[in-house]
Amino acid sequence: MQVNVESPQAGVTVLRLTGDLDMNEVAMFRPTLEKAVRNAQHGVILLLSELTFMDSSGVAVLIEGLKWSQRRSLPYVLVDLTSGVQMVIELARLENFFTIAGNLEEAMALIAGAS
Amino acid sequence: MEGAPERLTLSVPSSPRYLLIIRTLFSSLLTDLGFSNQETMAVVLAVNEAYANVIEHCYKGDVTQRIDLTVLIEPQTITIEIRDYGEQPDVARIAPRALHEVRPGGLGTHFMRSVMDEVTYDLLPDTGTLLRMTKNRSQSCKST
Repeated sequence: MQVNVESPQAGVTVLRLTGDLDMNEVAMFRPTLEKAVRNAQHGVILLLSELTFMDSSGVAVLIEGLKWSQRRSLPYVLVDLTSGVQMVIELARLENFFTIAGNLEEAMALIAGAS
Repeated sequence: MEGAPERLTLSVPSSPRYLLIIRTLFSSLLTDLGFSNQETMAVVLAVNEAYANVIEHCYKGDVTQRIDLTVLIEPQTITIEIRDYGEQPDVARIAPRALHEVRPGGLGTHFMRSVMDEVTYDLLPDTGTLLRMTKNRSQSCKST
């Protein structure tokens, strides 16, 4: 899996995930997510349109990221879920637990509205 | 197809680096058998979770052990057997966690039981466990 870190707006960190997030990739991704949450000032966005697969270990690290964000009162938004990732989120019954946006603009508006 | 099921067998090291290869294999196989994209994604997820659980819980992360995968293809069902030679789980404790309790961990078993039609664990006499997961083939699946 590849992770690109972007900042389209000051204080907002966007992580663009490409590939598969499984047990083999979580160890690499977890510190990247932790650092992104620590450094963001206004919000964290996970852009998932190119995330082709996610398993329970991937869900677990997304939950951790949300909890880290909640501790800092930071908005944390998942964007543009692929059908496979959507299926996993629904199987875990987390579709109402995460904030999910259809696209990056919508996510940015949610963050702007929260600050 | 009449008679004995078609059988595929594969021995894989207990390393997470093989997860992608296993998913790719099962994705191709299930698509070829006529499973829908949604069903294919679901069964691939279940196999991934089962394999990852063996690495984590039965082999405690030891990547040098052996996991045997067997696929039995029958007209009405596909059955995937995952056999390990590691520590046997307490079957009574293999249960999906309460989903209202949002926390990392414990979801893999829930996924397996949610997407497969039957999931059973056999503790084997010498060592290890045989996990057997079955998925019914819908009418749209090709008969082989």
